[in-house]
Amino acid sequence: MMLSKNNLMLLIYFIVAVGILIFIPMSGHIGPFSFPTSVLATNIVRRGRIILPSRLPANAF
Amino acid sequence: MLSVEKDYPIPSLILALIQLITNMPFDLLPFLPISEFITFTFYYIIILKVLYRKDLPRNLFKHLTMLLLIIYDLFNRINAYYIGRAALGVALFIVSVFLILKLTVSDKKYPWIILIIIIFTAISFTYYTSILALSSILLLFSIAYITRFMFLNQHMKSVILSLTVFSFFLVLYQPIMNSLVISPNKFIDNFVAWVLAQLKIEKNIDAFYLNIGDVPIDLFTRISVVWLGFLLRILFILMFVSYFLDKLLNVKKLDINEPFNTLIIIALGASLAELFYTFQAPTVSLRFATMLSILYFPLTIERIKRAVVKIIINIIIPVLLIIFYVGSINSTILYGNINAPQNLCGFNTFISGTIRSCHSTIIAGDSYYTGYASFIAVLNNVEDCFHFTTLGKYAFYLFSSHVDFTIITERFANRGINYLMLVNDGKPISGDPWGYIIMPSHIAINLLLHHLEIIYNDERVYLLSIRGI
Repeated sequence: MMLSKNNLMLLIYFIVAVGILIFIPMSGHIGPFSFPTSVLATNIVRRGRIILPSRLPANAF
Repeated sequence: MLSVEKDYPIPSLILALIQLITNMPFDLLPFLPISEFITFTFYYIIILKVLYRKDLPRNLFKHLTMLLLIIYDLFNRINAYYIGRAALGVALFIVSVFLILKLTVSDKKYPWIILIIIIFTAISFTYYTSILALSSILLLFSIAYITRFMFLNQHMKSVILSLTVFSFFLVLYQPIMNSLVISPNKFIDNFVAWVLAQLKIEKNIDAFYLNIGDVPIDLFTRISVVWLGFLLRILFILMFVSYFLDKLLNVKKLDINEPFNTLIIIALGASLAELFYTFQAPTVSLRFATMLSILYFPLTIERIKRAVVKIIINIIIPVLLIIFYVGSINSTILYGNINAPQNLCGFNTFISGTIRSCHSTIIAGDSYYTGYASFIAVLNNVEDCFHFTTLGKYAFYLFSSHVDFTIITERFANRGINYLMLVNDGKPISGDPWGYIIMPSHIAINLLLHHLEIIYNDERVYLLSIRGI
């Protein structure tokens, strides 16, 4: 199927935009909120149930 | 911080499922921009398929402007777009917006209803603000119907009212409901404190520490990111408000078959829900208002009659957005919370192998680095030995020009904090994921290194003992 010139431009734009959006964060801009989720996900995979570390990290002040 | 993950387990379950299916290494889990991809894709679908399907291909400029606006919104909050409760909650909220828009224009008897119920339930176990926003939106839909501001057919009426009741049950089930305080006085106090902090009139208040921080920036960043960012956000919200007032005052009835009109109720309901933050803390969240009002911007441009003004705006807005992106990338590199995990490589080896026998060691430090270190401790099965915490507003006492050791002694030691982790990477230190950002002064770092016992040092990361003060 041949894409029209406009649709081809939009497709390229979409790919470039998504590429930028993914590349920039992957280059080191980490969101702090993803760590607690990753901790729990790791425990779910390893132990097969929703479980937190036996002692929680100290809370912020 | 982690206990709330247990109340809202959907993001962790999705991440665990992805790991089980792909068998990817555990240490990659925090770096998947899944929420960002979902949000961008559904924004794109809403724009392309729901809002602008007729006139899109003819006007590439307008399409470019719209997509730049979407990227602006995503870039503005890029550090919170990895899978996590808030990020996935917002991504699912955008999916719900798409489903509600489809729902209102569908001819079927109960279209999308099962999928909407599943998504709503998933959101209620993901992020409190998103389910509250959906509940507010549906309540506004019901009020708009009852006051005859909007016409709904019989099927749609029952669908909307049922979803409203269902979403209210989901809101009432939220664990946070117990701590929610609705106090008009507190709201006004928090709002005034936020305004005074934004205008930098009051600098010694929590609102200033929380919202503004203390990171000196160059003129280009100030203009291209701070001022331009505020200007664009104000423009988007003004466009949304003008469109809404026009409908309210002139048309006096919403045509629900026009997706833009449905989006008015969605934008208003979501924005009202976010005001609940201001009851709790001196902050005003404009996230949903900005996210949804940007969709009105190209429409308002379309309605401007004068061709010259239209052409100027079509050119000026993309140019302003491009300046904003350049400024944002530049400021992210210079000042942003770019925490290179490789900085912690030696430190991770140290805590996972060197002193396994220790117990109840609590280490305080930058919120991003301690978050990562905490994750690594779990991966290495040493989470019972090492616990990490953030500095909060005490980052200002520790790393300003006047280090206050009395506060360190009293506050840190009283809370059982034994060690301070200091990453000397020339970047600002983030006391908390919500704010409290400070650029550490050289005087403060030198004083800390001089006064505290150095337990570990690889020239990037220092672990300092607080007990010896």
